[in-house]
Amino acid sequence: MVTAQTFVGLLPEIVVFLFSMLVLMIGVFSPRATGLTAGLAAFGALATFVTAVVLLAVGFEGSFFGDAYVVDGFALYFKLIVAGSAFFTVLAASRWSGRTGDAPEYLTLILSVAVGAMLLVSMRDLFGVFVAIELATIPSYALVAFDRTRRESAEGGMKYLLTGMIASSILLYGIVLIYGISGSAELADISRTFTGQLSPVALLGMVLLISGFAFKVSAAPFHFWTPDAYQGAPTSAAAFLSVAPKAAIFAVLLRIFLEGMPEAAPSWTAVAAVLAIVTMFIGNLFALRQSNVRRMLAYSSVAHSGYILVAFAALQGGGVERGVQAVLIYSAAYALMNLGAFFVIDLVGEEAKSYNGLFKTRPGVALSMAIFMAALVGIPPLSGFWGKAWIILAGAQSGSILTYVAVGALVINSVLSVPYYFGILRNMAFEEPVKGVEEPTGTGAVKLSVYILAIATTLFLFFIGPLSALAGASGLL
Amino acid sequence: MQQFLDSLNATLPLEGYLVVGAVMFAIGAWGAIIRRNAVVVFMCIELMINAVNLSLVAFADYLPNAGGAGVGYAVLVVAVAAAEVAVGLAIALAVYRSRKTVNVDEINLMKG
Amino acid sequence: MTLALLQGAAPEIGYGTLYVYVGLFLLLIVGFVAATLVIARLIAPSRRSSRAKGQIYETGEVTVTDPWRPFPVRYYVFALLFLIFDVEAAFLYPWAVIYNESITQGMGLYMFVEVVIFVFILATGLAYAWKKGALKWV
Repeated sequence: MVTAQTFVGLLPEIVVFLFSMLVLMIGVFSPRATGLTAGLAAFGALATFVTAVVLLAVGFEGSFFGDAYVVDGFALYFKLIVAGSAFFTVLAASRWSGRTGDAPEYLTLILSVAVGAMLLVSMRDLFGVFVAIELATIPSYALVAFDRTRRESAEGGMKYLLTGMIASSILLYGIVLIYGISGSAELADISRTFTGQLSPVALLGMVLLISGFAFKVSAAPFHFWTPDAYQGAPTSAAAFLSVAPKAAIFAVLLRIFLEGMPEAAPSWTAVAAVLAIVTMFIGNLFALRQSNVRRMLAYSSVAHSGYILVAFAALQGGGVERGVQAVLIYSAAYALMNLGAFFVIDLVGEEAKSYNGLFKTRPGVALSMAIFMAALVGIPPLSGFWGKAWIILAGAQSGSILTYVAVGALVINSVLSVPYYFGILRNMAFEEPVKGVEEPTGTGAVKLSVYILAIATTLFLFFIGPLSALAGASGLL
Repeated sequence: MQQFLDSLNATLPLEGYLVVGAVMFAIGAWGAIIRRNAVVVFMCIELMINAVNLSLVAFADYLPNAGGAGVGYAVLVVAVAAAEVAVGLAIALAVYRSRKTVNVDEINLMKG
Repeated sequence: MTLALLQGAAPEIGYGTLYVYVGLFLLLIVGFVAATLVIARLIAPSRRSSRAKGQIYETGEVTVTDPWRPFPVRYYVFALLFLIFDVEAAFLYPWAVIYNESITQGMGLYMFVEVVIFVFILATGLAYAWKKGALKWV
């Protein structure tokens, strides 16, 4: 039965959804009010963030719609990440999209992706998971193909769309097989099927499910859409898609694994470890050869998916608690540093040459970029380091040989990633500036977002305490 | 004669539907991989989704404790597939406007 | 035989029996078409072909252009809008079937509000398309 509590639990989603509709309607009925729509979209994302913070602060918990939808600390935490990155993306996007005259549609699409991602982290029913994933990905196809002035945009959108649709049908097949063998799509019922010796149908369903998810988080060998989609997409869209939906999909995968198939942990941790090792190496080795910064960051996001998958491989033995904390902390850290790095592209340009001598010409932006690059490598006081540290700690406690191998691969890959991140740094510090390579597109709000994100990345140490407390209080453990 | 009619009256086994669904899925996947025209690839993907939907409806009808809820899910899946194809055709149009082709092997501006 | 089959299977009609009906109907249809063609051929006065006979029958009018040309792309927008409301109908039918039952369980208002929200969201999409000029035939 639906009570007032249901509406409170759904409040973040309701707020962001209402604002997305409002932005669309105002945009179409008074097309000249671009400032109003941009402000409303940013305000909507901020209001959603505040709503989720309030729900988290009062300790709201509950399970709705026959246990198919759950609001707990874990879900609210990821809603915070999604709403926060939606806020920064809207800030960064408003100026760019205003030039083409499609600003309201672009902002509506961003908020729609946010609705899908926020619903996704609360789902406890596999069909709900499927519908929420589609709600997050279908607008993101349109986001990638949005830039009509560049031919790469439509092509990247096409590649993303074709692979995404095939991935969706594979994911759906896995879900249907699991539903068929369990007699129910709810995680509590599924956990009763995934015990003891797995039947072939259950195993096939699990493999198809993991393959579908691997497509969605761009884990190798299912990563090939990522570079094209992110290179073609408008910068703000690429930044948002590499952070918010990905964090939400990792979150729901964690929930499915821990709540739906806890006793099959030896199987899925092994799959996660193998996927993680392949993904890290492919992401970093391909990133080394890129001269386009956006494409380089796309491959870097593939590599970072691999790092998070190592945390999944560590979810066994004594590493379960640390592993969950690692996913939570890494998602927040990655959101901060990757959004920042992508926004700098909006300020400077996507060719590596554009960064030459940036420390002399624009020291503020250059310093921020240096912080993001160092954080993506994992230099100690910055955000990326803490995520990696937690993953290594979790892996050390897992007691599985394969996980130790994956942790070793993580360390090797961190070293492997130094040349391409620090290549940008070298260009900024030691090369002479090149005039007129590219016209920078972002201004004002983008610069402000970059500075805020750089400060948050630097001071991430002080968030660790509350974050790991939240992770400990999450409903998963 | 009566015996023949009785044998016809027996319900089809679940495996029948599942095998048809799996074969349809495989045909769709094969087509999605080998066809060049993006619109034909969309049709192949639709075939894949509908194959899964067939399995879903069969499961929902046969499982004792599912309570028929799978049929409701099947309608959701149909809606999702429709939305995907709507966006897909729009993107195919956008590609056609810039490249005058929707063949996936000629869409190759970005490499590496 | 058909009558006996109907009476015998009346209490519980299985899938197999239904296929027998479908098969019989198929035979009937094929037989009807074949018989009509044969009879027409036997009693028709003239068999000589003419140019008018070779033309496409389109509601009795003479066709203006080649029917095999590609469709204009603006049909796409209408197809899209049709798709939206087609799928909406697919959702409303099951809702309508269980609505009566839910009233007796005291869930009537909840379900009504729910479907109003659903239709409202789709109506917003239609309003957007309308205002953008998607319904105008250019």
